[in-house]
Amino acid sequence: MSTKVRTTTRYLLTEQLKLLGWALLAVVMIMVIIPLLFSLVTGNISNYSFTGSISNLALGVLFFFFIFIIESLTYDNFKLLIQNGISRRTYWQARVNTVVLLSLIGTILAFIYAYGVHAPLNHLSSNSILLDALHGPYVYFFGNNLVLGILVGMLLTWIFFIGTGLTGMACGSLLALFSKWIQRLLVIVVPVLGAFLLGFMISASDHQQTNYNFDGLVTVFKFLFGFPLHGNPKMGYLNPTMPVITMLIGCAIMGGLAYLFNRKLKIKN
Amino acid sequence: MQFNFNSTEPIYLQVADQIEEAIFTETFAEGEQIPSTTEISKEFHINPATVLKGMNILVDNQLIEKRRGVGMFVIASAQSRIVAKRRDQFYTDYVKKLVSEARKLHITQAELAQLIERGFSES
Amino acid sequence: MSIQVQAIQHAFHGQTVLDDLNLTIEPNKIYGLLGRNGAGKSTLLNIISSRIFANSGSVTMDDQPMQDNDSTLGKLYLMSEVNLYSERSRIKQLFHTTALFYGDFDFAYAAKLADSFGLDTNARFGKLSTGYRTICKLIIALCVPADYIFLDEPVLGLDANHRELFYQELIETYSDNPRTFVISTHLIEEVANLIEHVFVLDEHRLTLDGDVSDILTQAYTITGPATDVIAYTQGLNVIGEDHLGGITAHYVYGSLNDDRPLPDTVTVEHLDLQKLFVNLTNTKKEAATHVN
Repeated sequence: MSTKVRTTTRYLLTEQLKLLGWALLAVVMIMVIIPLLFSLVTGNISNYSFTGSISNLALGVLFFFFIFIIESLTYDNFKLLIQNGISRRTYWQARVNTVVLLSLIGTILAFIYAYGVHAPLNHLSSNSILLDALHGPYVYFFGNNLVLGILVGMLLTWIFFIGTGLTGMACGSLLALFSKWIQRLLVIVVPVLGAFLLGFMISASDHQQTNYNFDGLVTVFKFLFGFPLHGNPKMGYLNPTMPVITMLIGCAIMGGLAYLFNRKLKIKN
Repeated sequence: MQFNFNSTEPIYLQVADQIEEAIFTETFAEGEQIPSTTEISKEFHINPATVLKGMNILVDNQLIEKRRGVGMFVIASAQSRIVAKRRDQFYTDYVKKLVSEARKLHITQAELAQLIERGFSES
Repeated sequence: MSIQVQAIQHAFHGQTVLDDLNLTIEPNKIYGLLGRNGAGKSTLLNIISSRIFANSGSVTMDDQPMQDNDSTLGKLYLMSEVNLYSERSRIKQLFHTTALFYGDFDFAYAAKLADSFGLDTNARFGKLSTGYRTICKLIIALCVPADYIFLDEPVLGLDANHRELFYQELIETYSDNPRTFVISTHLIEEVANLIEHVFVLDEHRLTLDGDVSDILTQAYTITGPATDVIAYTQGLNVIGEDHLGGITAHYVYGSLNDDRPLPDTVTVEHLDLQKLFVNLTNTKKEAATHVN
């Protein structure tokens, strides 16, 4: 890794960690302090539970949104770096490095919170929250051991966050190519269209209308995430190879797209 | 030192002329240090290379010399050298022009001689 | 050691901005990049510093391609007209950021300059006036450890005192630590004696590329009665003319015909850089209105 890449990575990571700190502070304010103030004002202080509000922050989900948004921010750093003699290629490399490192930090934070705060305060067993998580179906594939399971879960989560960050990066780099006006339009229109499409698919599959058959799509998803195509999956013991491959391919595609968009970045007036 | 850069003569020649003039009028005395290239550059917004080019003309004419690590100094005989040069040029630079202008104005040789005498007595 | 620009061609929205442009920027020289509005000066500087990519042609530094190349870009600093610093950043943060990416920064000199110009380094960049934004960018440009410093409109919004101070500091730092400066400006008279070499961009091409003193020795004003002047400049490269009463002035760029006798009524003088520039870059339409 060249010095410039290292310097740029350190710069981006520092900036993003500062923002992560602010975001965490904001979350604590909103979820803990504001309910406290509210109960103080309304006089229902006896109903307020500090442990209750601190134990259900869903840090993993929050970090998912955080890394997507933070990695999508493109132009401000681009203009600063291009002013300081950093090439587009180096900017891209440093961003990828930052995604990998920030994802690891986010994963560790989310797991420490889940097993150190969330589980004990809610009197949940570590085993049950491990199995309930998104990575739950795969955690015991290598052996029926909680620590090993958590490590598998962390690995899968890490790759998932990397993919999320790279997707944010690709989306943000694409957006940065457009004028401010078109950017706003896209930010509003695309999610609305997506929600419509999703709603349509859900309602179509719910009503079991014969016109639409999603069996093929379901089979593809089962294959991509390593679920057995027929019969019931043995949750907790599925092979994680397929989801890892799927996520890595996703990462490569998103990283590649981000690279292409990144090369097209221009100075705006 | 006074520079006047409205003329269309190349700047490096003007630099040389102005320093020479200053040595002639003893603004820069013999043996004294003259302002550095940077000082002149800064004061008059002239590229240091241009100033140096002007100074090098004076070095070649043996009016100033470079003392390594210190700066440029007026050579001991510089002033007398300039005086000698200007005396040589006095006839072509002044007398010829004076006579030519006098002819255009129909001033006779005797009248011109009178005017010169008056000039000497009044100053 | 030099920057080579070769056969650069660039169009924007179908309009040619630069057409087959070639030039060399050598170390430790002060260059002037002159051109009228829209001549492509900023585009050229942006292409050299890899901020935009040319449609064709190449830019190299010491035979290394400069496009998207950190090792060459790190030796160059472009102070652009466009503000690329975050509005939220404090000035001293910007100094530190510059030091981080360029590997070093002359903080002592920056502090001295900020003091002379009256710039508060605790202020946020976005809170500064146009003039002080320029001053802030200038200070960074003079303190950054780069071999090639490009200054695009370095005196934009600066009052006469600050411009004076800037030219003095430029010479001071250039004398202490020679490096290349390329100054793009419209205030030609102010830099005419400061620059060693001049590039003039006109109609998307380089119309002038040379040592300022060499160029000025070939630029003449021929003044006198119209018939005598016309007779004398017949066949010479006349780039413009002026009329005042019965007196005509022809501006000539190139060598005069020494075999031709110079009539008593005609005087020959040299042109200054600004006058030469104006006459070289006047469009035909403007030249016509100028005559009437």
